[in-house]
Amino acid sequence: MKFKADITDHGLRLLEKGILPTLEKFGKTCQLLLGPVDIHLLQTAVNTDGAHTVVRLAHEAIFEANSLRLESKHHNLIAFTLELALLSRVLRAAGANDADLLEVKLALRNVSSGPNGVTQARPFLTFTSQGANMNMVQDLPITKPFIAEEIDKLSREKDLAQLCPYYINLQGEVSRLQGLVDKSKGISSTMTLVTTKGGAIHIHVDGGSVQLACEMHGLQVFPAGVSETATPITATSAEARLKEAIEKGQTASVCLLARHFGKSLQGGQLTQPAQLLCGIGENLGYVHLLFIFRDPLSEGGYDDNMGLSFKLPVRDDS
Amino acid sequence: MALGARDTQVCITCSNVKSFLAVLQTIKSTSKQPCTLIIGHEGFSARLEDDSRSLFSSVFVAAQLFADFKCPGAKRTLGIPLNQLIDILNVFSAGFGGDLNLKYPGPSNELLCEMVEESGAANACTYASISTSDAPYPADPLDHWSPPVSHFIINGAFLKEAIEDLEWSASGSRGVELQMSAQPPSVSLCSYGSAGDLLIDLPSAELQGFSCQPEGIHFTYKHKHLRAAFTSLSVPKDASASISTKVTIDSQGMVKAVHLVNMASAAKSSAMSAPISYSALPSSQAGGVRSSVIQFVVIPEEELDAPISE
Repeated sequence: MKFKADITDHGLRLLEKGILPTLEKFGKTCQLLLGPVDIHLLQTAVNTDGAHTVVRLAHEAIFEANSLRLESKHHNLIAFTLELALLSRVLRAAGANDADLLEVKLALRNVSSGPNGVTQARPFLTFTSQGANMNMVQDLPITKPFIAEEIDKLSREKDLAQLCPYYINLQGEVSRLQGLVDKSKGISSTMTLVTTKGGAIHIHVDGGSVQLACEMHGLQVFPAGVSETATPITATSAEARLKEAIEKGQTASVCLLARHFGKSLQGGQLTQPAQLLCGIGENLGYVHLLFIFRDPLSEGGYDDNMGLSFKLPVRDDS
Repeated sequence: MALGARDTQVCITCSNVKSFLAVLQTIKSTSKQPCTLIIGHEGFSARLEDDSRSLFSSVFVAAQLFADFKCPGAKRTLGIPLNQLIDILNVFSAGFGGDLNLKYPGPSNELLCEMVEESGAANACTYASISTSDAPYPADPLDHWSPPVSHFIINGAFLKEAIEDLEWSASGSRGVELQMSAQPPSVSLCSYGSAGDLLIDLPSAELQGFSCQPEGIHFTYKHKHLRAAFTSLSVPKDASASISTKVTIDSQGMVKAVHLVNMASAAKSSAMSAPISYSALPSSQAGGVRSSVIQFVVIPEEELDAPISE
């Protein structure tokens, strides 16, 4: 089992400023899956309080070209769990060192444990940064690499959600939504999320004697054809528009934990995607948030080397 | 019928939710009692009575301070949990500068709030409803106001500091004693607690509009009530503004503390925090209707009949 690669400046910034802070909102640990084409950072229910997060990074997104060596007996896949806070700290220190080269590799080290000084081989991710003034070596403890079955399970979990029938683009409204979700925490811990094919989302927070709701309409709908299948809504008030859309069968509605939705939106503020797509699964079983990133240099203008998505569980009492 | 309902509905448009919220927050309390809103053609007021029935807080915001204020017909009184109202206004104050519309009554007597915003990528409409209960017109503690009165005006920061300092000795004691003497003019606050005694004289040079009955004043109040009455105003961030508070005490020891809050920025606020300044000048001097009035009335403790010590 071998893994060694050089992390680029861009990759370092991406992880340190955007991805790791986002994942840290959901849980303390994450599972890292290293593969021949890309790497995944995954959080499943064992890492979080119910939400699934998946980050996909193509090697080009974070590693220097031709610097990668990856070998294992199981389809050249390696997986393990690590602590996000430690990884953040290691990367921050490496970034502050302003290194010319930041190398990461998988290593076994003998560490003494227990009072009688018994040495034991433990797995580490070793980060070596070579700067003009200083060379720094940091060892990040990780769990034992996963066995074949665990890797297969994780590989299945990375393809977490089937695509939803349609998505609404929330980018542009993230800070407004964030404010609403944060301030409504005192009213109720859950919220009802409704998307309409016409390009509106409705959020409803029910606090018994207090009801709070918000409608945003005029949002982009993907795939492009969907909004044309929706008949226009004519009602003049937000409440009536929601009722009309429900009557016309153009809505999907689920109840979810407000804090899950809020954390996802924070991820949107940290990583600044070009599009933040929000969809509700076909069977109303989950909320899917899909982050699409921009790459002005690529053909379509979108960055295919990087993906971030959240699958949020829904509550039964919707 | 629908038209008739609209004709008699109270419609208030508030363009400065942050200021409105800041004023209401000054009377926020942990009390479970619903707060009574009184909406009449002259303005909007909220009154709250403490569970102990010896602290009365009220806020009055004149109709002119709202962008639009329609209250056809008679005065409405409604009971509403203050914390819920504050929670909801908090949501709206996070908005991006839309006008908040308040309507009452809704289909089942709720207070309806709505804000439409056109900024950003899309149009947003936020709306809320808060259930209300029937509330009788609240009794005004000042009905029992009995002259002659004693009063003084002081920078609220001194009162705030004194009350905060008295906290350690006031716990476990009977309360805080407020003493005034006419000659020489002085105001002191003291408490005799198990942990020790503390007496604070307010700086006499800072006292304005001082008037005291010749026999002096000597009453005891619950520390938490004085704290609510004197210190719940949030001090404006810029140091130039200061709070001055007018304190009046009647012959029975009922304390009335009045703070006037300047809502000059009520016209149009940005998403930035709205500047608020406090003054205790009569409203005619403080720019007429630019100010909303926050008033606290504190009833003295019963056992004050026996003077504690000299």
